[in-house]
Amino acid sequence: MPSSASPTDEELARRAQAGCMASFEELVRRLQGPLVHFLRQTAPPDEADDLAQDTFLRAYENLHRYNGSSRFGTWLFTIGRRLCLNANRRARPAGEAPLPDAVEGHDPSPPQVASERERHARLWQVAARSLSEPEYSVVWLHYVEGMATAEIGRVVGRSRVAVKTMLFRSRRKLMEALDELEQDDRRGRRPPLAAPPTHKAATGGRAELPGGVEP
Amino acid sequence: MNPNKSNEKEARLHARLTAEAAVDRPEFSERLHRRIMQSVSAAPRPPAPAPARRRVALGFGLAGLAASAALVLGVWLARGVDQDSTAEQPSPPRLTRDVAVEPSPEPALDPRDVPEASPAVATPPDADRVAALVDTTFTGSQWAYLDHDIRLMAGMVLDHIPFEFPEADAP
Repeated sequence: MPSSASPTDEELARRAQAGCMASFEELVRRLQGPLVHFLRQTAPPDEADDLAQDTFLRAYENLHRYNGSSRFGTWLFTIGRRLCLNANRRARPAGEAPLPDAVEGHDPSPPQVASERERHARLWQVAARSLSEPEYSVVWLHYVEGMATAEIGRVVGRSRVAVKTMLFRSRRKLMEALDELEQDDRRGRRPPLAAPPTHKAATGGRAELPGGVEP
Repeated sequence: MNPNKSNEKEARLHARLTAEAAVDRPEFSERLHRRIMQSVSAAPRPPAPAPARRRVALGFGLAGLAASAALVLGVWLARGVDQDSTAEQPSPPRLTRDVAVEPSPEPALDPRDVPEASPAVATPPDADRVAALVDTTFTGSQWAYLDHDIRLMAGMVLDHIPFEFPEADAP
């Protein structure tokens, strides 16, 4: 996190627009980690780094289009998510129909019945199995990246109301799973904490693919 | 649900999700950073962003043009309709003298044989004639100044719509 004396991401972006490569490099240093972390959740296996590189390159090429109406990180994550969705579409086997996206007002497919193994699973794994891709991304951006609902809406291409609705539904499911996990913890049944499977791994590579629009 | 309990559950959920995410947060990769900067350095320098005062979307400009054109066309059509309706307005009533039907000195006839007297047509007084003349004149010309104003307004709108758009950028 930048200190109070260091320039904000938005200021660095303005300097980069003016031609300062060092400012753009500083943006890459600050946002590489969070971006890769986010892309790993829904990208095809082992493609997160490549997608991160493509995202920064696309952001640089379109730097003149960043107008400061949103945080630079939001703009960057928007590009990254769209590239990730396109990559998933290319990786999907030919002829396989995409899973329906979570439509506003409709519940996604009901969560799988919690097996003994799932009750011991970590909460993000439960999220990966029970939430649609947009919902998973919304939860991630809210809790891990601390984005506001308006910013999240820009990234996932939804209205603020839709984001709040998705967040509400997702919280409800995750809180039920959290109760079970905490009960297991108290009973001492919790397995060692390992790296959780991503949403891609949990859904077998069948992420929902709403239409992605290139910036 | 008790708001306090709801907040507590939300706090627990937040803590759990962030803690789990922190376990596999990737470290900064110098190798990936070099890759990124190499690709960025090799890319052509992006154009400078357009100045704020010229940052008018093409759609907004076209919408303004369309609105102005629709306004001018609407006024022009309305003038045409109004001129037609003005031409169809009945002219002021002709002046006729009322003819008083004098009672005939002849012996009274059967009332059914007496022809009906012509309806009396009142001669409008001079003031009313002038008022009718003014009304028709005004009705026929009331659109003249409005049309002029509309043309002025359309010109002002068009003058403020920039026709120089930023260069098209290939993503």
